[in-house]
Amino acid sequence: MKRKTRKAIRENLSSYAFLIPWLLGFFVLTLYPMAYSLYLSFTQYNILQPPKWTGLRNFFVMFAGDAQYPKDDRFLNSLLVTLRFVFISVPLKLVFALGVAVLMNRKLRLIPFYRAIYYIPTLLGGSVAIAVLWRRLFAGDGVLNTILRGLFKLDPPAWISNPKYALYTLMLLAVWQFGSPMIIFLAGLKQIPQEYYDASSVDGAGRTRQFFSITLPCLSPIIFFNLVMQMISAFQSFTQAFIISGGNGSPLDSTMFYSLYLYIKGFGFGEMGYASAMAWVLLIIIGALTALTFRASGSLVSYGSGE
Amino acid sequence: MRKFGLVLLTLAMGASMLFGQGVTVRWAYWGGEARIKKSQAAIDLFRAANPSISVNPEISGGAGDHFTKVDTQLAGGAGPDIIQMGGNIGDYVKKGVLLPLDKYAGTILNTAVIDPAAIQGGTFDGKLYGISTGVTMPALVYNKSLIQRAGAPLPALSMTYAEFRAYLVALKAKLPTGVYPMQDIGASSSGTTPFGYWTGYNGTKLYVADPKSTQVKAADAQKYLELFKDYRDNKLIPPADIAAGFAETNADTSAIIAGKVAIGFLYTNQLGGYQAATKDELALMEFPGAVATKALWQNASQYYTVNKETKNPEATVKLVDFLVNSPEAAKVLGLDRGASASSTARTAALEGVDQKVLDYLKIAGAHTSKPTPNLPNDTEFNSSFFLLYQLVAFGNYTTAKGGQQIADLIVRMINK
Repeated sequence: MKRKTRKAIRENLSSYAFLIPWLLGFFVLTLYPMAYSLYLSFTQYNILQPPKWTGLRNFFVMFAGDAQYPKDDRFLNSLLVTLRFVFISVPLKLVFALGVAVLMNRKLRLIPFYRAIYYIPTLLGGSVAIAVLWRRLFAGDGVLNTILRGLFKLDPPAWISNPKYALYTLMLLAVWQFGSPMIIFLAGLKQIPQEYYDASSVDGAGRTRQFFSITLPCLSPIIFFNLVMQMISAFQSFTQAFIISGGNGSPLDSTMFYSLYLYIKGFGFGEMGYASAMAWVLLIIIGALTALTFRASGSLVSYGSGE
Repeated sequence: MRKFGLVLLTLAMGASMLFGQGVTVRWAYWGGEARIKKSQAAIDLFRAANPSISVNPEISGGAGDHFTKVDTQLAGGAGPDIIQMGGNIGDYVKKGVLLPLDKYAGTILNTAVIDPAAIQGGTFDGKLYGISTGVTMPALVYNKSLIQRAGAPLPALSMTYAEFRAYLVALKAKLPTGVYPMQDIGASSSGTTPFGYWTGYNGTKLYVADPKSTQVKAADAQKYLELFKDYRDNKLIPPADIAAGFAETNADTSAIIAGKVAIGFLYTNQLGGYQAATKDELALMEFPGAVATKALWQNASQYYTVNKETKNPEATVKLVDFLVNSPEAAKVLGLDRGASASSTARTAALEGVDQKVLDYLKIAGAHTSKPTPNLPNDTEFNSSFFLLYQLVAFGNYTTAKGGQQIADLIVRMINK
C-alpha cells in the first residue's frame, strides 16, 4: 500500500516535470503579462517611467469623458471601423471560401493542384509585401485605375487614399485570403456521407436543393467554427491597415483599426496604460460577441446527434 | 551528457574569444538608403582609426519606428549606446534616460569647436545631453527640370504670399494635366512644420514655454485652413484624396519625387536624399513671406545622445566626437544630418547638392528667428492635427470648425 502511493507520487512528479516547460511558458509569458496589462489598464504609463495609478480614468475617457479629460472620439471611430470590417468581410470571406471549397470538392484530375493554387494567397496574405502590392494596385495611379482609364475611359477615384473606399480595399484583401476557412470547409465536405446525396437524388432533389438541404445543415458546425475563428482574427487585423495606410489609419482614420489605434496610442503617443485598457476592452468585446454567436447558433447548428 | 557539456563549454570559449576583445558601440538611428550608406562609410573610417571598438548600427526607416524600438529597448534595459534624437530630445531628458556629457567635454569630446548655439540647443537645466548633428531649416523644394520642361518661369527664391499665389496660378497654366503646382503641404502624416512656420509668419507663436501657453487662436488656425482651401479649390494643390496618397515621410513617399507636383516641402538636410531619388534637378526656395517676418528658423537636424545605462561611455562618446568633429567623417556624411555646427568639420570640402544647401542656408539664414520650443506631446499633436486638417480637406468640416478644434487641440497638448 505504502509502496504504491510512493510510486504514484513519483509518477505524478515525472508528469509534472514534463509539464514544467509548458507551465513555465504559460505563467511567465502569458499569465504574468496578462495580469500586468490588467494592472496597467488602470494607470498612466509611458514605458520609461513607473506607472501612475489613475483608477478608471482610461475607461472613462473611452466611453464618457468630461471637460478635464475629453472623450476620445478616435477610439469610438476605430471601434466602428473595426466592427464594419468584421461584419462585412467575415461573411463575404466565408461565402467565398465555401463556394470555392464546393468547387474543389469535385473529383477532377488536377484538383490537388488547384487546391494548392487557391491556398497560396493565404500563405502570402498577412505579409508586408502583399500589403505593399495592394497599395500599388489601388493607388490613384495604380494598376486598377490605369486599366479603368485606358480601357473604359473612366475617371476612377484614388481607392486607397479616399476615405469612402479605403476600408473596402482592405476588406477585399481579407476576402482574398480565403484559404484557411476553405481548407476547413473542404475537410467538412468530405465528411458528409455520399448516401445522403444518393438517397436525395432518388427522391428527385436537384443540386441546389441538395446544397441547401444536405450540405449546409451537415456543414453547420464547421461554418460556425469558421465564423468564430474568422471573427476573432478579423477583430485583431493590424498589418494590412498599418502598411496600406502608412501607419496612421489615413485617410481620415477610415482604416484606423482598433489594434492599429491601440498600437499608435501605446507606442506612438506613449500611453501604454490606455493601450492596455483598450486591449482589455477588445477582449471583452470579442468574448461577448463570441458568446452571442454561440447562443444564436443553438437552433441553427446541427451536430447530427441522430435523435 | 558530459560530452554535451564539453561541447557547450568549447562553444562558449570560442564565442568569448571571438567577441571578447574590444567593445561594441550600438548606434541607433533612422534614415533612408542614402543615410545608411554615408553612415557606414563614417563607421568604416572610425573603425580604421580605432580597431578595438566595433560599431553596430541599428537602423529604422523612419523616426516613428526608431522611437518605438528604442523605447521598448530602454524599458527592457537593453537600450542602444548612441540614440539619434530629434526635436523630442526634451521629452527624453525629462524621462531621465540620457547621460549628461559634461564630464567628457574638453577631453574626449571637443566642444570648444562646436558653435555655442548648437551646444545651447542640446543643454537642458545646465547639463549637456545632446550634440547637434548639424543645422537644418525648412524649405520649399521645386523640381527645376519639370518646370523648365513645361516652359514656365522658375520661382524666385523669396516671395510674398501674394506673389507666391500668382506664381502657382501661372505655373498651373503651363503644367500638364494631372500635375499640380504644389503638394498639399498644409499638413502631412509626418509633421506640422509648415503650420509651425505659418504661425510665426502670422505673429502668433504656437508655443510659449514660460508660462506654458499658445498664442494661436481658433481664428488664426481657421485662416491657415482657408489659405490651403483656396489653393485646393483652385487646383493649385491636388484634391484631398490624391494628396493623401503620399505619406511624405521621405523621398519614396513624396508627391514631388513621384512627379505629381512641382513644389514640395522638406528640411534642407533631406535634399541630398531626395535628389538621389530622381533624375530631375531639384532646387530650394523659401517659404513665402520669410523676408519680411523672419519667421523661418534653423535648428539641429538631429542630436546624438548617449544612453544613461551605456556600459562603454568612453568608446561611445569617442564615436560621437568623431562623427561631429572629424573632417574625414564630415566629408563622407555630407549634409545628410544637417550642415555641421563644428568648425573643424566644416573644413571638409563639400560638393554638388551639399553646396546648393549651403548657398540656401546662407541666404535664408538671414530670414530666421530663434526657434520656438516644440509643443509638448509632439507626436500626438502631429497625428491629431493631420486628422483635423484632412477632415477640412475632404470637406467634412468647415474651416471654422477645423480652426476651433485645432485651437482646442493645442491647448489640450499643453495641459496634458
